Amino acid sequence: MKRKGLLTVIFISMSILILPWGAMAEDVIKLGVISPLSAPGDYKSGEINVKTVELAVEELNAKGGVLGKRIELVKADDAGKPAVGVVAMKRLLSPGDVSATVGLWHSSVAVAQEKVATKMGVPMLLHYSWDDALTAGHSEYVWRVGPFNSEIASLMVPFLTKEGYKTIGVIYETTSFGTGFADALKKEARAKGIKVYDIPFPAEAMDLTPQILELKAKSPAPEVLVIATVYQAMYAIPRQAHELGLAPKCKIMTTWNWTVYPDFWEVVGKNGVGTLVPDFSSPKLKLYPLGEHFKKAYTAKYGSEPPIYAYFLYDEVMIVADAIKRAKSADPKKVNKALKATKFNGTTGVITFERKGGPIWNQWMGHQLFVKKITAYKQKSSDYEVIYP
Amino acid sequence: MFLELIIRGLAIGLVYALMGLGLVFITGVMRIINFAHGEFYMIGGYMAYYSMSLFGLPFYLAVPVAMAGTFLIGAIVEKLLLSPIHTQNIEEPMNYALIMTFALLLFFRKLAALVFGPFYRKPIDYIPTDLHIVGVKISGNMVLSGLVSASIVLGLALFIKKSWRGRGWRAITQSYNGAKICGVDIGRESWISCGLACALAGAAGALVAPIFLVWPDCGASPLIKSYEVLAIGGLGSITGSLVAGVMLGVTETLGAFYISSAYKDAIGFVMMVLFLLFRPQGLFGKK
Repeated sequence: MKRKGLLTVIFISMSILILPWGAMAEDVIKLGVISPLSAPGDYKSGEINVKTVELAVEELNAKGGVLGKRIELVKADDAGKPAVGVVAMKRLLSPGDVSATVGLWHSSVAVAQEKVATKMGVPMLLHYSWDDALTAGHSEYVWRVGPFNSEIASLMVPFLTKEGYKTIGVIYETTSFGTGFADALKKEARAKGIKVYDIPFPAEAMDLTPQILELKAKSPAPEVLVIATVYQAMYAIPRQAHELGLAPKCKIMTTWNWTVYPDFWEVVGKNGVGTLVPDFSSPKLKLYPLGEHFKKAYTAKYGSEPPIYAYFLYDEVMIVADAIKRAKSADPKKVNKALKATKFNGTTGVITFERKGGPIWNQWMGHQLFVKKITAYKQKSSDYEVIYP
Repeated sequence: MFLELIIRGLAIGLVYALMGLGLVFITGVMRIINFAHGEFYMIGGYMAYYSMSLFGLPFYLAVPVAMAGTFLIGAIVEKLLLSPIHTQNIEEPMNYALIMTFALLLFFRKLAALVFGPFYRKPIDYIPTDLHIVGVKISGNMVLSGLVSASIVLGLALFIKKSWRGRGWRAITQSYNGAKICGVDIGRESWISCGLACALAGAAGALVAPIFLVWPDCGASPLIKSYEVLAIGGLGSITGSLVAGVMLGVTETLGAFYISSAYKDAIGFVMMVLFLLFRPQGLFGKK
């Protein structure tokens, strides 16, 4: 009798535990966000990624969610390491209830995670992972709103030739992103007759003086130094280049707009003046209404303007919501199918995914590159001088 | 160019020596491994930064403040977490210290990210002008960090040679039980030497903060350099840490320039491995 009573209690308790959760799960749509949230990953940018996705999801839920269901964010930290990223992705996707993943950052991690997403049939969207290989593998489940290395190189080199530069240096972290970017830039630039010195360094390096001295010793001297990294070296290089006398004669050029980060002026100081900043946004680029809205909302909520990649990430969340609506389902395979037919008025343009071979596979090609110049100390990014086009 | 590389390598090598010296104390006196050593470098950097930016202290006060602060934290850590090694006669003190200090490493990093945020910090330049040494232009900050590091290392070497406390530490390094028998208070010398080791790491972090910046994970690379210096210089040897630090700094700088900049960190690692294989006691350690 006692045993029977105990079994009954256990059965009822388990039913109470299982049934409501099951019902609740049907009321939410899960969106995965995997980004570096701890070292050695670039968790500065990872934090911005998560904030952007949170803002987008808040807005969607404030309007009643998607298909009448609230969107629930499931976060994971890849720590900037491929092995950790793969485990995080598997853990995120294993329950089988995540409709898509966004927020991936480091290319070297995304390359490993792509295999998991493809195997498990869950769409993975890339907003600022630049490695060509991510889409060149032609996975059905990888979609990229952001730019990629060879596209950026092909957009950057016309600026270099227009300015008459004959010799440049590219200093890059030895990761998937850095090596890929350097290779793409070398290929494009050399095809246009520009001499390129390439200087690799370990991603976590703090002292780049040997590398800069190596460049300084080159003849002819480089006229522009392009910096391809996401780590602390992006601050160390401009300072050390000035200290060693390479700059300002050799102009410093970034590869992405990390100059908008709040620590830029404190760390780089007056050496930041004169920096060339390639960017996908500009006062010359009219933001779409969604872009204007996002800029205002992000700035109001977080107290600083969003970097350009946040716009692409915000677009991705909205595109996933749009795909779910069109598919009338949150099933990842159906969402993935709906993504093919995407035509979405994004923050900076109308987003469609093209397939032309090579890295142009499930890839948006609507990016326009501007080159800006920092002309004053502590200048705001909106006041940078647009020098190209 | 060669001279410029040598001078730069020397300056950075002296900072490596300062970091490595802290580990010499921990391993020599306390006979444990400290995985959290790099985090005191980070804490020292933040202390120097906030002393200057929040309280307006000049650098020549900010660096001693950073040293005092990291000494205090190191002493508290020893008292609270590491003292059981000698008070409770723990069976596997090395494993205990490994686990405890690794946990501390994670704790300090996460706490720093939470409290200070993920962005980089840089105090204003200690010496804002460049200096010329034998015709080589080098930043004033780099020269200052090298000179102060050398002074601290040499000052400490003198203290250990001449003072009673220093003799006590040498006695512990040579024979733990022998030192006990001779009346050395192991408990007291442990927290003092732990505090001092952390203060040395804090000094290194504070001195190079305007050069290499401060952020929550900035202690990772200095920790590896410290172990390389310890392995190359030898356990328990101050002279060893000085010579090893300079050797490491110069070799890395020359190697990065003449061999490949991509393998700069690998050069130090290869040096350490070679010493471990062919001269495991290091340059000045005892067999």
